[in-house]
Amino acid sequence: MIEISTQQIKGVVIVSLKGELDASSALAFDNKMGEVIAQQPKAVLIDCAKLEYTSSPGIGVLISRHGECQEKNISFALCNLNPKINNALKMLGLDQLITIYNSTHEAKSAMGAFH
Amino acid sequence: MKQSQQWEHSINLSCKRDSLSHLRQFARNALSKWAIPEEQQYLLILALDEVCANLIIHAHCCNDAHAIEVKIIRLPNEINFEVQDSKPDHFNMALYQVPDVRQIILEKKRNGLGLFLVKQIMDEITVEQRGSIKICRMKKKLSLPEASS
Repeated sequence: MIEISTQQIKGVVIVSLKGELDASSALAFDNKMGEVIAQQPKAVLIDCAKLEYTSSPGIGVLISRHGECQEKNISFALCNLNPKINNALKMLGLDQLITIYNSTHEAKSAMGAFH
Repeated sequence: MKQSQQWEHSINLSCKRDSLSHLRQFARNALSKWAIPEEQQYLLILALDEVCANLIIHAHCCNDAHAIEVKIIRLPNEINFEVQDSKPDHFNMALYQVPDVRQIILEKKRNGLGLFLVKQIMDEITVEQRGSIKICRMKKKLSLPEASS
């Protein structure tokens, strides 16, 4: 079960995830990401503060949507990853591919999302 | 649960995607009873989830009339997972050669990540055919200061 909410601040869309991403819920996340990217924001920030778990389908969405954002010149980053999820992403080397910020404040500052 | 030289929990899962959250809750309950550290629990649950998702989606096409049985067995210094499946033609994970994960990521693909993670997390994976039942066994040695049961 995943809850997804979005807000847009100065062209940066913040996608907040709450719950668990797995083979059952990743499709909803993928669809939401499709809608978000179609708006052609300047940046997409995935806030994982309340994301408790992700398996490979959720990680696959991150990889493919990150690639799509790169192609469309849209900045893409994650923030507030819990250490257990971060550990799994590191096993795949994703920490070398996707920008990960420690906090929302740090991410918003870097992506120009302050009011 | 039986109490002998080993501790064991088992669950039957119908082959639908929604079963995966029940599987994780079941595994979380079992592993936390055995004082497995949370970070290790997370990775073990991830490996089990990936294997069962693979079977449910690819071997059973999410047919909820089908079921698989999952056992979690605690030995003094290791955790064993057993996934029993009556579908005879699913692929042998033990023989599966994981793809180059860097290539998957560079090509923005989505497939192959799960089994890569399983092979990274677990120490040993074997598949045994017993009559019409196929059993996938995965082992993980525990690095606990004091193995508790």
